[in-house]
Amino acid sequence: MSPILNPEPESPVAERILDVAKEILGEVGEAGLRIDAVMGGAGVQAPVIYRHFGNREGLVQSAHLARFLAAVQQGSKTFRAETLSAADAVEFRAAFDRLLDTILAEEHREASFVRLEVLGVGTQRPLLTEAIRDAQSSNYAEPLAALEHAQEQGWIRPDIVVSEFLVWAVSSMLGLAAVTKFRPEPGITDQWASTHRRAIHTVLFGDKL
Amino acid sequence: MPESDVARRLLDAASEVIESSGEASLRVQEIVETAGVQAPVLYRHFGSREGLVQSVHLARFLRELTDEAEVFALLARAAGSKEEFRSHFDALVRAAADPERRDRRRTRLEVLGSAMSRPELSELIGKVQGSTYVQVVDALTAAQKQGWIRAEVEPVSFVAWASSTMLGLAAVEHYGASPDPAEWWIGYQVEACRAILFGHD
Repeated sequence: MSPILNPEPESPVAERILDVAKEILGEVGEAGLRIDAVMGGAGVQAPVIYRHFGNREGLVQSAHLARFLAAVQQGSKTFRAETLSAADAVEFRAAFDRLLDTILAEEHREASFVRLEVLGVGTQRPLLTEAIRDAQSSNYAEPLAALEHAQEQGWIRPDIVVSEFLVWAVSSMLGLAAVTKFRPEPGITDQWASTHRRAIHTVLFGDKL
Repeated sequence: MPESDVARRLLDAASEVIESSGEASLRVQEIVETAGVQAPVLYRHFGSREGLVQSVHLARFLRELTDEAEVFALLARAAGSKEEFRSHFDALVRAAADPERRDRRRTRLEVLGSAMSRPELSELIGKVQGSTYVQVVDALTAAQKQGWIRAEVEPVSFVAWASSTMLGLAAVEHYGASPDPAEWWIGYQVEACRAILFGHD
């Protein structure tokens, strides 16, 4: 059978299977995902897994995608909580900085690890690549509207293309996950965050350093 | 056939499969057939299928870093003035974002993503990565002594930021809607780098 991408199953059984798979991916990664362990964890026989996900590969991709969607949703939730609504430039900037601090904070680190992992393992998987593309594009809609409004109001630089700026600023945050995970130097994560803050400020507000 | 040749052939065969269709499609049987050996030979050299996969990822990452060294050398060229150093720096960032390097950027994203859940591979990648950037860090440190870049810049952390953020370009190239995002993406990157290194003047 070919893989079936089923990241948000309606059937409770499929949901249970997916939960077990997600947990395994989070703990030991996809290389450690064994169908018999999923059978045991979800209390089902192998054919049930294959009916919902096609094969092991379908389950792996579904679990990756489900984790990615959860990480994306966490980002959107943060965005809504730290709303960029403001009455003037000063307020907007304060709100923007709060948002940036939250995104760069420790509590978002796990989500950024998931993003890097899934974007990495998705590059060679057409189904997963397509699904990630869809998830990403809808995710930018709200922050984009907020930035466009700010630009109309003259709160940010007029000479940037906000849709491009946003993609640059968000995509480059993958670097935070990478240095945190792969660079052993103490303090490198905090230094990364402060460099990124400076980079974004200078591009968005034209700050002088 | 010498033992090291056998390992090399297994590694090459596995690299080819992973590069064309990803690690999930790697079958041990297929690899040993391509390499012309029996399965136990593979297990002797790599321990398991997983050992082989990780070795391929590490080898690809090392190859990619070696390629990058030629880009880094752009900055290490002797500069006689601040202006010259700046133009070297611009050349470095532009070269790193060259559309022709697209596949290499994607390889890096793929390998790092695949290493996230593999502690041993993560550790090895961390070790080789730090040493690769020494050349750039040294060039920045020397420029700082000349007063060509801002005194507040910490070369190691700046290089860690500037190189790691390139993963974002890889992600946008592969997953984004824009057909050729490198052009504008790097525009923001260059501007940010310039402001941090040189200030606005």
